Amino acid sequence: MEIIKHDLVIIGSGLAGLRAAIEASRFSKGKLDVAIVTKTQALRAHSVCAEGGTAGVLRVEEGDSFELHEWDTIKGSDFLADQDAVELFVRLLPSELIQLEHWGILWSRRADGRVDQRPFGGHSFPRACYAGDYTGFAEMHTLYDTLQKYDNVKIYEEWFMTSLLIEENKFKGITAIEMKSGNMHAIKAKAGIIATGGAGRIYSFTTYSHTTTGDGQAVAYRAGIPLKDMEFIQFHPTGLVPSGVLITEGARGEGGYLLNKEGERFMKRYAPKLMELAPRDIVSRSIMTEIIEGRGFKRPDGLDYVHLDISHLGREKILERLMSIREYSIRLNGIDPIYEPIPVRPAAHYTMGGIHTDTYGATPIQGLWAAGEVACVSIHGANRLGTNSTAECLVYGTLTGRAATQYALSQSSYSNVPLDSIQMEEKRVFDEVLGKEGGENPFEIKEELRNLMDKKVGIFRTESDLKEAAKEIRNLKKRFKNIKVVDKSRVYNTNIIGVLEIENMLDLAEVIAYSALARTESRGAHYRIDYPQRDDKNWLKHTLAYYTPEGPKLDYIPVRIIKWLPVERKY
Amino acid sequence: MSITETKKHAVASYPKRYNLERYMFFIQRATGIFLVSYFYIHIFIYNQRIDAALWASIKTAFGNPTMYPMSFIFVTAIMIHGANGLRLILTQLGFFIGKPKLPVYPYPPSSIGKAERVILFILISVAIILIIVALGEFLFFIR
Amino acid sequence: MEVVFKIHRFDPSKDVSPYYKQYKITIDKGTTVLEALLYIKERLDNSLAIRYSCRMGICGSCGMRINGIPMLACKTQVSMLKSNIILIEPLSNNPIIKDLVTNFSNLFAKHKMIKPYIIRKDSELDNPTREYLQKPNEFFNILQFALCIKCGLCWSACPISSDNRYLGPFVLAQAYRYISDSRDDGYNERFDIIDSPHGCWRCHFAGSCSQVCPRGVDPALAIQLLKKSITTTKLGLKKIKTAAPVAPPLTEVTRKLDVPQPPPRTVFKNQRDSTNER
Repeated sequence: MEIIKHDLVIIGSGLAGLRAAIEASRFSKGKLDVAIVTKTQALRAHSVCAEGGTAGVLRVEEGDSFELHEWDTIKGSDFLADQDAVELFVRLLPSELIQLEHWGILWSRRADGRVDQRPFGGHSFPRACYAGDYTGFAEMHTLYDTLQKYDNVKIYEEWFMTSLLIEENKFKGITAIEMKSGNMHAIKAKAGIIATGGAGRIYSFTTYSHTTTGDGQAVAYRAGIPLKDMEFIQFHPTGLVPSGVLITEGARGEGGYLLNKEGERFMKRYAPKLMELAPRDIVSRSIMTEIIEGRGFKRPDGLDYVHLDISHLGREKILERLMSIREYSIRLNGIDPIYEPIPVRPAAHYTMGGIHTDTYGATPIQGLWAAGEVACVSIHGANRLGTNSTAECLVYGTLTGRAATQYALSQSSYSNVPLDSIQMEEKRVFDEVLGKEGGENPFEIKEELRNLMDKKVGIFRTESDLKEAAKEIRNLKKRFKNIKVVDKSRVYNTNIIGVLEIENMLDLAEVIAYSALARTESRGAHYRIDYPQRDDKNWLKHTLAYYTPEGPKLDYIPVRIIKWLPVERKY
Repeated sequence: MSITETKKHAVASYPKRYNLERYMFFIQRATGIFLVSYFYIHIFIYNQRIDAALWASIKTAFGNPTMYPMSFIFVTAIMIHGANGLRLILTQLGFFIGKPKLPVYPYPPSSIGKAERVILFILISVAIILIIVALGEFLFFIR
Repeated sequence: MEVVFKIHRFDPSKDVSPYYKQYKITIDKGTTVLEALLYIKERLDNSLAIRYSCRMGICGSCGMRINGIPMLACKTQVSMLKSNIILIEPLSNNPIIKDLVTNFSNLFAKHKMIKPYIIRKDSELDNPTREYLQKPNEFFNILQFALCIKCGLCWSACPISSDNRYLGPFVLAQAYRYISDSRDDGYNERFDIIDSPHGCWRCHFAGSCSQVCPRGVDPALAIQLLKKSITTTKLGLKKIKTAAPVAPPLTEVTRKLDVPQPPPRTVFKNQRDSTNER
């Protein structure tokens, strides 16, 4: 074991992590010693899978305004968003978009050479800057490339964080496994930023990458930081059947139709004004309603679907603006969307909840920030609008990067890391987990968990389902104690990393099930069949889940409302 | 548009083991190594002229018709190497390799696309014609 | 359909030399190689090491040689390989860490060497006001090279990558992407590293990189264009480009949109009903 020293440690190399690293280097003029710890290679983060676009108010001249973007976001969130945070977020966005452009991203352009914007679900103005349908990929690679400018950043690729070192409510560092050698190291730091992304892999039919297992949330949760609003899991209306690969909302933004078995544009019954471009929670529920009522297409494996038709957009537009989804549907389904509709169904896509932070991304722990999907500020409230996720990563990457830099520069010396907790962590991972010799295959437990979550904690929830899910998760946790770790070697042991990920997933699944069980109303992405109405009197508040060995302990804090009182949400 | 026609568009494509240019690369390497060694052997043998007796025996040895195929291989190598080399010079100056454009699945690469293949075939055909002419000459000599 | 996967296995901490292990599994029509490998990893042999993430062909993790050809496992369907024995090996020309996982640090270090970022002298670069203008032809000139996912397949396919100092196809493609970006002004700074024996002149245009590229980047094209650019520069024929200007303020509104107004405020700041608590 080795103790490595850095001023600022950033966990996660997705959009938020890279943006924070750049901001830290830029703000400190290259003086700050920054480390990025990432469990994948730096370029392989899940952010590359984002497709549609990044929203931002660029065209005030054409009628867009900050207030309108705020209103769209707040209405989209079903009024659970903290409005001061939304105000800040919306105002910082335009300069982020232009900054990315200056760093070399290839935003799709208008004929006159200016940045183009496309319509997106829930937005009243076409304000989504986009790069074809590979926006997240373009942003990630632009930021990674720009980061190469700075020599003060060291990237620890394929290091898996196992715990946060916190003493007296102060951040001291992290412990991480270097996968290449299989040794555990401690990284001691003055400040830290968690940017590890969402937790959606706990669902079976999902658009998430295999690596998005909510490690940041789970580790913070076990370290005593509360998780906020975890019951709100966004289901993207259009996941490609059967693989779950994301078919961007941009396909509908460009003018695609959703059709049921009868060839009817069924969205007219659910959102007569915005049709296919209603917010995602509404479209997802509509698709599921169609499927449940028998107007979807049947599949033998139960993944019934509806059609997304973009064939009327014309070849040129599809080739230029929707090239990746065309590639995916040809390659995975043998369907060319220029001629045929794409089979889609709602898939788990985004974790609105996450580590509890204040308006500026600071966690309750001194010296520790959280940015991006892992955090819950909350900008997205009960339902995120499309294009606001990459936007949040950029804005909060910048904000936390700058705040953490200021804090780290103000700390004159490194405080000592708690040696006993490092040794305890090393013992836990390498003696207890690696030495497990039970009878269960951990990956089977993972499969069961994911199917359970899809079935019982999905789009439509009921009390009995949620109770059963909570019981079942407890049961899986018990079985998890009895697993067998086959690979005993230290070098690049994906077996033990997988097991640690499953441990994290089980913890988060429990939080989600308990939070959802407690919230007896329907708001945004959280829809309870037994409580179908929004209840502003009792439930206009954020859930906070605290870790206890017996299970999550729930608490609530009020929503910060500074502009608009909740009204009926109709599209 | 009929279903069979639409299905034709929707087939995923996979790369082959080696493309034509990759084989040409091997041939270029092989002929290159052969020609360089030929050149050195050639210089070495010509240097034996200072010894008149030795030179006379070398001359009779190489005057033997059994040595003609050696010369034929040399001509073949030089033709192929030259033709392919000309293609490489042209492509390195940016001719026949297409322009950057919007990639369309299954992403056929333009640098090893139609224009480049055509120029490759033309140059190699010219080389082969010359080789056939040379073969005729050699057969004539052998007779 | 029953298929045998013959997988390269090597654990440096216990094996002296690599060996191949066979797994027989049943696959469906649409199963990808990655799904098959994950099935093997999760059900048959937990100790198999693979690198994978997005399973949709955009993260670039799962590059490997499938029946000898460098491909992304997630982009390849088993049934399309038309073979009952499938040989899975790690990418060549990279040091092997374990089983199918190779070390990319050399490649990423080279990527850093070519300065893969916009270089400009104006202060606008870090103090953005409005976007730089970029015309459609300038956009399409570099678009396909910007689609590179750095998966390393080109490096594995290249016959001269065994020269470890060679920059390699995707790095050179990125060099071309940045020097021909209309917003960039750093051609001279990158010139020497590209115009070196281990730079673009090491390429002999075997075209294998373009053949295996899963994203249509066509690195061979970029490298030939680099050679052309360097040749014309040395002959003094190259047109010197000026970095793109900042867009002027939008004066003429070309789009007529029916934009709704946000509703009037119903709460005012002094009525803030809770504090900003941590």
